Amino acid sequence: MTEADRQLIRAVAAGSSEALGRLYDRHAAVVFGLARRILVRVEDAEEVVQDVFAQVWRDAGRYVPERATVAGWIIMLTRTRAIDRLRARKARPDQSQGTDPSLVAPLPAVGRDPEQVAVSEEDGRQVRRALEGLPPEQRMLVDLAYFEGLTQSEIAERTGVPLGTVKTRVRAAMATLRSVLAS
Amino acid sequence: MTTPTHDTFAELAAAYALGALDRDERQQFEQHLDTCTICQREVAELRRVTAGIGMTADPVAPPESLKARTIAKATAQSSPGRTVSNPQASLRARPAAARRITPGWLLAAASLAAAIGSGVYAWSLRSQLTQMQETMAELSERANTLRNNLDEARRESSRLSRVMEIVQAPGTIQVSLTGTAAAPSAIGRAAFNPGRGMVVSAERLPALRPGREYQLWMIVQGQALSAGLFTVSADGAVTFVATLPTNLLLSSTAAVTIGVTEEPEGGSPGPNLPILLAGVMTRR
Repeated sequence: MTEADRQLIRAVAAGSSEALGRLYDRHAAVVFGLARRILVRVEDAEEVVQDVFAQVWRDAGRYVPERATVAGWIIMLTRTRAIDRLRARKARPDQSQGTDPSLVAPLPAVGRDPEQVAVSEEDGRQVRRALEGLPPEQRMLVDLAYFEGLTQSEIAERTGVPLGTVKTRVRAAMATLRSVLAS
Repeated sequence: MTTPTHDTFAELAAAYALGALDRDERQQFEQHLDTCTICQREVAELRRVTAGIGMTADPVAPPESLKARTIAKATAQSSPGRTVSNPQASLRARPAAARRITPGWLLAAASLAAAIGSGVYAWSLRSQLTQMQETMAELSERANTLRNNLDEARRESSRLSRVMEIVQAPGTIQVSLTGTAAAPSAIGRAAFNPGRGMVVSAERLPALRPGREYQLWMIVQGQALSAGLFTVSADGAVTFVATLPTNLLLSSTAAVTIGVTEEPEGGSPGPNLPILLAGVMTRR
């Protein structure tokens, strides 16, 4: 899987649109699934699919195989694009003209360089198991932050849980998820 | 070993990797991150977790037509970072060099032909290589699909054998579940065995909205105990092994109501009405 992906990425970097089509066949369902989970609206999820593969086309030459699987890279692109779109949509729910840029809250960054993540499909399986084992109040926080793009203060506001408790739970949840990857 | 401010910032790493820091905190953390290798390692490790979280969303096949639109739009962009090698350039350079060192137009022509010939040979090798790479990609993809299918089948088979074990065990009680006014077409059945557990299957439950799950309850003497969370297939069907509440104590005569409610993902401590599917288990 991983090696086939890497070969395809190299071909995309060399300008093969057929290879991009193959990558699409292999990953579009994951991209679309994650985008729909975040944005719900089908049209928005389709836009994210287009954004993500456009970026894959542009940046395939910069992809560093030692630092990330192709799947991990594509997932990070998807999450970033989808949350971006979600925030923009919240800022102008009626899709009207004249967006005040200050209304669009900055993306709570996954990081400056989110593409460069060492991640494997096995990580995904392990995180899924670990997520299912988290106490419900921790799992909810992870979902609100990752899938709804809420910051800790926004989560506190939304759920009525004190900010200090939110912070403690986020740390605890991430520590648990991380420990399963470390082992 | 750490800078004086490190401990304050180390606490922010998890929320940063999850994308949950507020703007000010994020900017402060990023400034620190520039100089702190400990936090850089920490964040890199934590980002494996966040990518893993992304992989937990269920894949959904996009509409057929999207592929053509996506590929067309992507490849229509110019890609400034891309370097495309130009085989024509080297083909042109070599015959020129050959002509300089071999006098006579015949020899020159011969070496030109040879140079073009080797260029063509290189091209054909390259295309063979591409073909082999494609075949390999295809094969490893196929092997992977088979492996996934096998994993899936193993999981399903161990789940089914658990289901069969409970359903067929001596002393298992069958309970019919009926849809309430909130889900009139839903039906279901529970098979409860005090020693082995409970299997619940249901059909025609309403589709879940995103971020919601069904929760199963066992209501004993006015107290509702959670017996697990589940989701349903597109047609509203499910068969699953319930998680019997650890503090479930059944006297031999108490009636137990089995009920299903829709709850926020992750479940609730107590049922939020309405109950969608319910049945009463009485024991002799």
